[in-house]
Amino acid sequence: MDKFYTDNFLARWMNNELSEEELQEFRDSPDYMSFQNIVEQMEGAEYPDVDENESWRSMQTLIQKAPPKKTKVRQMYTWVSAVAAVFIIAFVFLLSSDAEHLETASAEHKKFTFPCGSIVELNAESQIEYEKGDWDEKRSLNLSGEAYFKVSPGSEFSVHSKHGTVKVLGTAFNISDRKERFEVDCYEGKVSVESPSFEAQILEKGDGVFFANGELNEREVKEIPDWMNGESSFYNTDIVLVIDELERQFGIEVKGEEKVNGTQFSGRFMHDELEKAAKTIFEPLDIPYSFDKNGDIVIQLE
Amino acid sequence: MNRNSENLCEEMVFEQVYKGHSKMIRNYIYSLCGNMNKAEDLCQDAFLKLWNNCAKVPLNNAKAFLFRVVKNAFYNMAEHDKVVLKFLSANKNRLNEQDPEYILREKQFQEKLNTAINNLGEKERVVFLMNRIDNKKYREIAELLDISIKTVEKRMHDALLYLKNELGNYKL
Repeated sequence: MDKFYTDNFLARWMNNELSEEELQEFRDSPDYMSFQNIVEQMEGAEYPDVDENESWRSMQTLIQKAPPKKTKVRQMYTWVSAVAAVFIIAFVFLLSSDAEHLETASAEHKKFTFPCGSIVELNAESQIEYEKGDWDEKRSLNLSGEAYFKVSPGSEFSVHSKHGTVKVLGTAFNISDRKERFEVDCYEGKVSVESPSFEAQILEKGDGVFFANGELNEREVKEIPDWMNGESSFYNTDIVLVIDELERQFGIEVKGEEKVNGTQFSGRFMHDELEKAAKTIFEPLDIPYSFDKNGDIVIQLE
Repeated sequence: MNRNSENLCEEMVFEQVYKGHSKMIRNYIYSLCGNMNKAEDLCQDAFLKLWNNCAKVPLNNAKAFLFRVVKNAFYNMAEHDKVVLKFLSANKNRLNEQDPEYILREKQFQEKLNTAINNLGEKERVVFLMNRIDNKKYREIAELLDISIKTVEKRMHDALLYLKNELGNYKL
């Protein structure tokens, strides 16, 4: 009885994901009709009406007043008029008028070259943001997710992520900051890692650190990050993070991952074949799973 | 890749993007503030920002860009009024019911449901309405709001449970 009211049961019901048995049991429960009434009532619900054509016409007026900016360099002498324009249009512009944004979707890697010649390669579902205007003086960016950097010599280059900051002069390094795990690996030169969670670290070529479960650990690194070679590797990593990476690299969903919470995984999977990757992760851990009709994975553990 | 070569700076392309996404974005803000005029303004501000960045934003990132902008703009607004959402709601399944007493009960039920939705937590409300009215899949919602599918499911579950408890065992 109580199980109807926990976790995601009702979400699965609304999405027609319940098994025959679950559905039968739910239908027999005294509250079933109350839920059913709400869902049926919602079927007729609509937002207040908006005239879409009228909406587009007023949008059209707005954009025709502001011809698209195709040039990428903002000249200093236009500064005054730019300020005026900002006041006229909207204050939201003030916040990020010169911010550059780059992101990857699931199953996508992307390579990008900065004005100084430094290179970033983004792993799946990651993003960076930086101020373009004064890039040469201040090479600083925000990262969420995972990325590999090859930094050409010049002023200090810093990467800020949720758990810390990595600063270098010229080098190659990889950062991953996902959920509660923060990893930095140095592939060339030297990098310094600062974080409120642990003492500042200097990494030299071949050094790597990862911060997880409140502890900082060291590890050795290879030539380039594995994900750039089309595989993902893990060392004593919570299975939930491994599953997240599987979802990101193949753009699928894994259902029931809460059932295996707490398991640790060390190993790797390739990004070429989902079946093979799933086998590599789940078989050694004796986790039964299957594929549903959408190609998503369902963990079968009771 | 081909789609990416289409340029957002072309008004016709931009128009398609507007007609494809503006309704969803407007509804999203409406579900947060319950004011359609404000929702329309913020939605158009976001599109204007997209237009000003048309050379930089790839077409397939436009939706994510718009969501990010509109979400920030909404949460940066100084004052947030109490939410008063109003839904047009005619239960299509029961339209041919003629019993006046039944029609009255249904109308009352609809009002109670409307009030209960207004009282829902903001996060649950946004997810619930996106799924129930905009017909977005859990995965799409997760992507748009930048949260996990599990979180979406939890919010859907909590939303329905809350509504049911608010409405009690109201008999139709």
